[in-house]
Amino acid sequence: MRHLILTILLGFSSWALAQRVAFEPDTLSALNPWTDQEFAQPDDSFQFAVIGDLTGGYRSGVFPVAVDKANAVSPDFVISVGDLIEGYTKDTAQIQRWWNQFDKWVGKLAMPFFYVPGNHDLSNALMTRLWEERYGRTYYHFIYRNILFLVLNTEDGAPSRISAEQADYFESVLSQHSDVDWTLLFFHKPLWQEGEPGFSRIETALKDRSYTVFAGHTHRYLKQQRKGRDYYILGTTGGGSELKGAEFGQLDHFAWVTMRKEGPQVTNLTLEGILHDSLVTDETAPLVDCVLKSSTIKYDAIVETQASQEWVTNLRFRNYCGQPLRIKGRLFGHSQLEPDWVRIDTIIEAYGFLEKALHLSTDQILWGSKLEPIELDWSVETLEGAFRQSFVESITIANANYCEKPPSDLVIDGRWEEWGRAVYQAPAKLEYYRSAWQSIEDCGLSVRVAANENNLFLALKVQDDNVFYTPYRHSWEQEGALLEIKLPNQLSIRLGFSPMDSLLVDVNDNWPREGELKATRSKNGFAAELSLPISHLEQLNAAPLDQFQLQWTVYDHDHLEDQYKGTKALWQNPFPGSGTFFLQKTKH
Amino acid sequence: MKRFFIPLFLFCFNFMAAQEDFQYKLSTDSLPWTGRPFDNAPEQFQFAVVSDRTGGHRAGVFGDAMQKLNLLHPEFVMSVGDLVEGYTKDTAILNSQWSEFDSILSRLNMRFFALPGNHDISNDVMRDRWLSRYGASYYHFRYKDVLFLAFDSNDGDGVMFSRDQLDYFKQVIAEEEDVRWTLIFMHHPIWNYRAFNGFDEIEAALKDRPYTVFAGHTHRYFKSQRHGRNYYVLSTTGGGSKLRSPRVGEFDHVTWVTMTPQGPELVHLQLSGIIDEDVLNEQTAPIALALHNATQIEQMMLRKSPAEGIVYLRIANTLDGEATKESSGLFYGGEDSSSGAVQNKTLRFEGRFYHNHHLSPEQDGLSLQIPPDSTVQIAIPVRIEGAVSLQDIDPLELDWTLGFESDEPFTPAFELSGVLDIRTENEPAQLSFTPMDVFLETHEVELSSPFEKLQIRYTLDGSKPDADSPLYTGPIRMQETTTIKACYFDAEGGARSGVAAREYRKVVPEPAVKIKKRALAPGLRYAYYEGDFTAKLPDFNTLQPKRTGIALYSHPDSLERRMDHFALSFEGYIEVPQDGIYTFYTRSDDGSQLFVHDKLVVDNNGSHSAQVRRGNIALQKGLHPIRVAYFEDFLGETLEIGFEGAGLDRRRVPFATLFHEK
Repeated sequence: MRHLILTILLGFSSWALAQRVAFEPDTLSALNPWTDQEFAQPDDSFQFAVIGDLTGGYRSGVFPVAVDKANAVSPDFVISVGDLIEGYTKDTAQIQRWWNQFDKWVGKLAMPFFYVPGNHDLSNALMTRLWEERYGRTYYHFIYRNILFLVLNTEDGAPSRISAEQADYFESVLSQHSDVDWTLLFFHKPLWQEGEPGFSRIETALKDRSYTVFAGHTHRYLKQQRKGRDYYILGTTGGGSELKGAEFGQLDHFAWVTMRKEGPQVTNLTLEGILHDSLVTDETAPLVDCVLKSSTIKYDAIVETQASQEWVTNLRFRNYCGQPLRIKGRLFGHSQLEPDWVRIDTIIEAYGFLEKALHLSTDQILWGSKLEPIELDWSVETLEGAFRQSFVESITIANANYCEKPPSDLVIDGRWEEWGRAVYQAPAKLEYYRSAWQSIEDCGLSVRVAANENNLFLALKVQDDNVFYTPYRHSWEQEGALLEIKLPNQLSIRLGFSPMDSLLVDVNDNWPREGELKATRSKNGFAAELSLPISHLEQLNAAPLDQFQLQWTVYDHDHLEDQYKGTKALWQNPFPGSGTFFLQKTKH
Repeated sequence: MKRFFIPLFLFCFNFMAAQEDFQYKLSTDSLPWTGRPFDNAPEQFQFAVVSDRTGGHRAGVFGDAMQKLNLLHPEFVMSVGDLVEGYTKDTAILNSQWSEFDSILSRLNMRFFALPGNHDISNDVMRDRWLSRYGASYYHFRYKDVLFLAFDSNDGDGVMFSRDQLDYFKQVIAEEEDVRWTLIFMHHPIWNYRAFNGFDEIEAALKDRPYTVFAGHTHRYFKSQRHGRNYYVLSTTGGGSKLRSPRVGEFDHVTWVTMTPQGPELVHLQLSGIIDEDVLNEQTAPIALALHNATQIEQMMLRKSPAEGIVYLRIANTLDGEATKESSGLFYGGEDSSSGAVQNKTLRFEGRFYHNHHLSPEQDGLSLQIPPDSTVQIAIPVRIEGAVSLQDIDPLELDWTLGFESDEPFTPAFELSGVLDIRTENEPAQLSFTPMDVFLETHEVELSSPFEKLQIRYTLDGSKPDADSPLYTGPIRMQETTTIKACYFDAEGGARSGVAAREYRKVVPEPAVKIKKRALAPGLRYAYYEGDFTAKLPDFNTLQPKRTGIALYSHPDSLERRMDHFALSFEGYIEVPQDGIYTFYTRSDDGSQLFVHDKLVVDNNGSHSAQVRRGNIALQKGLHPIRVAYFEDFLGETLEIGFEGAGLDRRRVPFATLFHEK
């Protein structure tokens, strides 16, 4: 009793000491930039890792990586559940080669490794003898920080068996160590599922204690409850597996166990989720950047001015990397469009360029722009396959639009009235947008486009059930709209509309002085009218102008919280040719 | 030699924790563990760093990280800022943002050190709020003789650090000169900006000591070296990201730092790679099994005219609210597994056809919801382009995803995907026939099909079934050798499949051979061969055996042999107890064939892992010549034979119960 008190006193004072010495803040005040929880002290807990099966499929390279990653997370030690080598042979030299290889791998662990035998390790009497020569016992126990570890041999004399001597041994170990805080069992085959008598004896001897069981063999992770205790079967650490995913129990992992006086807490770290700190460095970043940059397809706009049976475009891939990249792609089926090819699989040399024509046809004359786009499932990867990105690219046929005549009573006053019907409206026509849109009341866009010989006229309207606006944010962080008039030479005029800044921002300084623009705000939205000289557009384009592209985008925010409610647009995600307007209806 | 070893066990509760914590009974010289010291040096500790939560905040991720950190048990958690979305002066909104953050953080079981990012201190109102919550926006502390410096990179007027802050840290660095390492945390990766921030002064003050720097802000992981030290930019813990891949530096993670006596060692744990212990248990295993089952999508194409076909798909959701026997078999042992209620879920199927030059489905894809314990069968009309023979064209390919919704966010979803080849071949493999293909007097043959709504019509006269042929409604009875030909027809009778045919032979039992029992002895005669056997059984007639003898056991391990690339031929007699039809099986790794009376009964040829194949033969009571051929390619070898039939249960036949002529 006195000894106990002494221990508690010693423990307490050194605990207090540890607390004081361990953490020294600059000052301690009523307010501190940290929470009040205790530090999770290692004094009453420790952490170790449990690896799963290596064999029965043996995907090479997995286990050395696991060793590397176990070192990186630094458990106190690593223990296994058996099946360390392939086994099932009587060729001594081969068995020794396997063990030498395995020992070399675990030799790279920065902490101890505990061997546990599986059926692949003790497949026959010869293998059992070699195990005993190398590792002493096939079953054993030890205590670490007052936790009793029992390592069982489930191949003891015969497959799936625990011998009477082994059961005697563990009964005696358990009776000698009744004062440990917890007991942990490690063995290969989940013998509780078979009612194996030796194991039943050990379970009986454990019945009044706190314990937890770890096994392997099935290559399928599973947590079971039995007699009120947790029985874990681990997945693999390189052993044969289809690796369908953690939810199917098929994962390469190790269990990460935090052992506390209240018992173990188990979580699992997948090997692929443990990332080395040199993941992206100065050396690797250029490749990452250039592959991402190479991850776009450009294609020639297909702007149709009449119904047709055939369309053609060129897909353009560019390799921005100083090494070859592989492009693989496959077209999804389309109910009407028939492409002239289905697959692409090609290598683009360093800094190379690839152009691939795509002919689309239908068996009847129709408007291709009314069809859904045809989609290419494609990927770009480095030749050794270490780095791969995949995408789906939509190839859309655009329709040509024509400027109408301006209303005779047009006044540029920022009011919609004289325009009447909305010719272009979203979300009215599905083909104009591809994002979630609740309703036109939530947010709707209308546009009319007119021209005479000298001027281009636009009427714009935004309906919004909640014009939300706060002075505490930048205009670009809240509700607003953006109009872009894009010219064939890629220059554009961009106008921003915001309830905050008198409704207008000339975003890129291309708005002409001669232009007229008026906007009005109402409780359910805003409207704008503008007029600009075609001569200005031709000047910007540095060439006579017959067409331009329009995009009209609204950033809808109804509440501060749904900051990212998203973008709504007419001609959103502008694909090549989308929102194309011809100034005059001429034959093409 | 036996020693008993109990180390002193007095100081081990606390910081003296070391090798003395380890006790074992040593009974041998060799040990079942390696000799490395435990990785538990007393001055070593582990902590975690979380990265940006906001700037495109993906709800729930940070909370998930808190729960996972609890399972990982770092001693404490650091941050690099951007804890709330901010960018507002509206105090009501700020209140709600901070109280949301606090409620998420309250799940964390260990201490959390806050550090301000640009989202947390976007303006004066927010700065005041920060100070009233946390006292300081920059600070330092020592933990186990490691100096932690937490910077506020939003502090200066136009620059990132105020003069006061720089002076504060320079003084701290000067005062705390005896620390073993210095760790610097800040929001912006200031070293990537131009040099006027004054951070060069801090670097200069630290130039003679080891240090490591952590920042966030860019949402893209990057490690660089500066002045020979590691500078890390962390990725996200819920902040806006396309999450394209870790290779791109875009992933949700926590950083796990082990502060060793030699310095920090760090690794990034992807949140998706930290898997809850309950990921697969007795309640979820049936769901996983049902999804496995569902991926067995039954598919078939009927042809209506040269230019029209109909693709049939049948998908089953086998979840029926019970933990089944089958799930016991696949996922856990039957004996102790609790069968009980399992949550019923609707199975979701999404499919999309790839382009095929010859087969154009009427729809590009399909989306189905399949309720528990039910199957869905759908028919999709397909246009067949060009006058082509179906054998000559590529299968129609369907890119599919099957899944059950997960109740908990951030737990792995039950989802599988793949590409289904929809075959256009002539014989409908989905139609299955009674496998027993021989009979003595009379026989009943059953046909079964997964496609309940399709008709099966058949003929017994060898002609091709047509829409007027008999409709299959129940077992077909026969008394003579008969060939059944059967086809699927749709309900309208317009579309049909190719023909499936099976022959059922009326046989006379093979007569027994007459040999005196006393001329026989137990076991089979074997001949052992070596050679470059890789794909299938060799032709034994062209080979010279290396050895011959008597085999009492079928397992190759019972004979002296080399490890790989050998073959065995076994010959002798089997005695059967009565007249009847016997179904033999072999289970072998790699290939085998079993002959009775020199007739091939079981063909299990090929290089494969252990698999079972069966075959039938009618035998009279008595002795019959039997021959078993076997070969081993590489890795794993086994051979076993057995039979059932003539009213006998399936039994394994050990070679010791067979005979050879003396």
